[in-house]
Amino acid sequence: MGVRGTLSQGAALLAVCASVLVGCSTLLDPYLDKESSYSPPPRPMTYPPHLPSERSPDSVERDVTLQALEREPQEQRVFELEEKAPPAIEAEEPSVVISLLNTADQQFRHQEYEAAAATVERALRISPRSTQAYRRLAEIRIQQGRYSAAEQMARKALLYVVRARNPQSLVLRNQLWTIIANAREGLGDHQGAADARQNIR
Amino acid sequence: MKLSLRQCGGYLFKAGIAVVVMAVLGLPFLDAQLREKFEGKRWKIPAKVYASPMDLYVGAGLTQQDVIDEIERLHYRRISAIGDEPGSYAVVGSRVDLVTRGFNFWDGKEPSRRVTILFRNGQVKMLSSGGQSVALIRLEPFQIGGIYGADKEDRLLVQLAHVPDQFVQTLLAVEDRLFYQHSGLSLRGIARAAWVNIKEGGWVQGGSTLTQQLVKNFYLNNERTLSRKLLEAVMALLLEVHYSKEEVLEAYLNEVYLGQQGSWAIHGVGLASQYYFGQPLAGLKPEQMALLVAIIKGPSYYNPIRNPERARARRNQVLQMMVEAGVIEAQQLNVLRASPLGLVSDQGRSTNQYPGFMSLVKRQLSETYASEDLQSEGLRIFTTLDPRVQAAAERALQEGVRALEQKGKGKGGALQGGLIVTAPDNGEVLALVGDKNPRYAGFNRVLDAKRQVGSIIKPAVFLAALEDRERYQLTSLVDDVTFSISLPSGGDWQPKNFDGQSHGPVLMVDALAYSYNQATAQLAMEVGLDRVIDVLRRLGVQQTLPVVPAISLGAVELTPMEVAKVYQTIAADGFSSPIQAIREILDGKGQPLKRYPLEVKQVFDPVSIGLLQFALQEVMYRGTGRSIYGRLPSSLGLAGKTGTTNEQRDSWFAGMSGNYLAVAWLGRDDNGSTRLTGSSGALKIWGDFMRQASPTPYEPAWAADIELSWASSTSGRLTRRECPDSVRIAIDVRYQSLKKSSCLGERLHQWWKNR
Repeated sequence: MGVRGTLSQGAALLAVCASVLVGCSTLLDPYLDKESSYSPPPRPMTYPPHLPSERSPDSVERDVTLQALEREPQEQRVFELEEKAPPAIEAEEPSVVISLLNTADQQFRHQEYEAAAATVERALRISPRSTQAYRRLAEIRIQQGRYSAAEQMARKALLYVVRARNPQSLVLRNQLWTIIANAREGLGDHQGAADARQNIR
Repeated sequence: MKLSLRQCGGYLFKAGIAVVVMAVLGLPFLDAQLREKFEGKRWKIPAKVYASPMDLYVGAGLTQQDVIDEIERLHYRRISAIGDEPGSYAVVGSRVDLVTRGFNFWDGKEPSRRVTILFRNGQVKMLSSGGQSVALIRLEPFQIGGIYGADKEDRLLVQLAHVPDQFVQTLLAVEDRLFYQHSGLSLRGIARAAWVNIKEGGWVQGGSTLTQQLVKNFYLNNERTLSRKLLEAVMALLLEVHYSKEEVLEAYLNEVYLGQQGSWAIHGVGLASQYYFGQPLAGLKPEQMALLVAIIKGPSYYNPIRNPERARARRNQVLQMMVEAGVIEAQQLNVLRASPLGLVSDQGRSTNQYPGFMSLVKRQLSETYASEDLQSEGLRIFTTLDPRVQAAAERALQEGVRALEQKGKGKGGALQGGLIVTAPDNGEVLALVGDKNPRYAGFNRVLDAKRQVGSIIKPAVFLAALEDRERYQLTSLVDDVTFSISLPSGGDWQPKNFDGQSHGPVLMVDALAYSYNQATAQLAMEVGLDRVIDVLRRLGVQQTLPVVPAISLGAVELTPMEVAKVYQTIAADGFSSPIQAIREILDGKGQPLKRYPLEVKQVFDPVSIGLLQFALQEVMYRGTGRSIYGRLPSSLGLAGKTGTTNEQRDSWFAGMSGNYLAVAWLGRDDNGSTRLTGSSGALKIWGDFMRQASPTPYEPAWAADIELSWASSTSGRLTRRECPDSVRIAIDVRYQSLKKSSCLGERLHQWWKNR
């Protein structure tokens, strides 16, 4: 065996070792997923956002997935993340917003729906992600028979509901899904309403 | 010529018959006309357009200076110690005391009240009124203009009951002492005037009553013949037959001609009071009231702006008459005579100070209202404009363009621009500047300049890819290599990167952050042009789009307003809202007429949008927008995209903070090269705006399935922070398309690649 032979043998050995090491590291590294224990979520449920009565004839509408809105955070993470995304914690509403929403509630009780909506919008200008404000707008639209608008407001509120699994956010989520179900009933979409109610825990 | 007595009598007799005949025939007709005009639509009241009123509440991000600027804009008087005069304020350390004027809003009356505001750390710390803390105080809205007809008349109607008594007394003392005694004509007045005129041999004095003056101004033009004088007299008598003294006086107060601003006529004491003194009539001091009355005799001759000495002399005459009539005390006379005229320095500023924004308002109005109604019905239009944000936007565009021109870009003063700022969550327009000279009422580039958009449209391609997260995540590799597509129309399309380099396989997030043309075009072809066009539709692009590969790189022409619409949907987390300039409209009587409510419609799922938002933040942290953090703190987490078109004809930047979405465009009206890129041009303007406008941090909503992780910038595989070449990344945790790797694995992989 000459120098070349030794070298090629050495290279082969090195290659073997390297691949073993890579393989080992793959097995041993706790930051890799354990594919066998991870079960992918069911295929996202798509819901057509526009029912036949509202579909505009000349635009290509695309289904919007709602799965993203309703999915609850996994108990078991796929892998440990060193840095979590900042949770969208709903800060306490500033007192001015609470005061405005109280006024809106009064107007709502007196069936002054448009005035109530204007008051809620004032609150939203101050606190643009207030889920309580969007929820009220959704309820006002239900009262006014504007069902598709009601659903859209409720969807916007759902987006901003706290990620964490605390009781208040759960209550709010259920309220919002109820509003969506009612809105769909109002439009005569019973299947859609049933789908929405499935998300109520 | 000497007439015989008989001849004289003959002439008189014939004249008398003529008069009687005329009277019998013409009188009823005249009478009917007179009444119809008086009772019908008396005046055309142009629509008034207001900016958004300033809201004061604890925690509001307003500095003491912001609030002072606003109340100065509203012509509040600064005094040393607060009293109870509406429209006054005092500054004591970090506190502002003011007495608001009150206003009738769409949703109720905001009363006039005394308010105390305490500021700390750029915020309202405490707010109280009447010794109690208050949740919310809304100041009067600033009037930014009106909608005028071609006759260029405007009115601020006053009701007699609300006109200060002192003013009425002064007016009568000077212009018509016997107003309440005569019945339209004052024979004594006529006689006296006739005598003086004959003596002087010309027209020196008018013996007109207020009624006659009203008739002259309201019904007739300015002919000064004897027959016209007779007609006037008859009409004055008729007027007083039908209408009370109060009605005549009120009409007079709203009709009297009091000055000219260019081609604009100022009629009525309400408007004149605002025009000259920036105050409502009730807020005028005695010497100011005297000046208004003084002007009546000859608004040009006694124009206080152009002929202050004459005006002052006449005013002092009036003050003297006020003493004689017992309206003011004799002791006050000397003090008042010595006082300055009390004019504001910015006359008539409210006539269209913001032409760019106003043209948007008018267009939105024209969708519902005929221009005739807008010019005459006295509508009150409440808009979304924020004067503080508008001021920052104007300064940024105007000074930014000037600075760039001085550096030699866009030579010969040809560089132009546009800037629009909206609220990210509800699409309200906070500021609009359509010209580098904000006061010019010409071509509005934000609304009408259709320009190639270039790379600013690229997010649509990435959004289309991210909607299919089975196949694509931000970590997916895209080939940034030269390639060529044969076009159906013949010929080839070969996109090139800005720096002429190819970068090989790059992470999708980097392809967007560094705006690689080749990678973007590649991705667009893979994803499918029809999908990209569908995304553009849903983002609000309404025009027909050609199905050509070049649209992925921005071979589309849009106005800055249309670009703002695209980014609005991205900023609002995938919810589309109309871009609004108007909130609500009241009719001439202050009753609600129309409201423009908040509308949202979800057009993208929040995860796709959230991932895109992350990528747009990377544009600023390390991509083509990174120069911004030399001038603003990186803790703002801004998100945005640059855009440059062929031969640098257009420089674009669109981006958002927590409270603003702003789109800046620079270019030349003759479409020549600006020698600017998106980051060397429009981004500078945008940055200047943000520096002056107090931005809040941009905090994406992070839909439930998005997590932040680390990935290798070479392989795209998920790793840990300490691994080589790792970068922050956002991912949708559900999808198998993510490959993971260890640090060692990564090192080996790189070694293998670089061998």
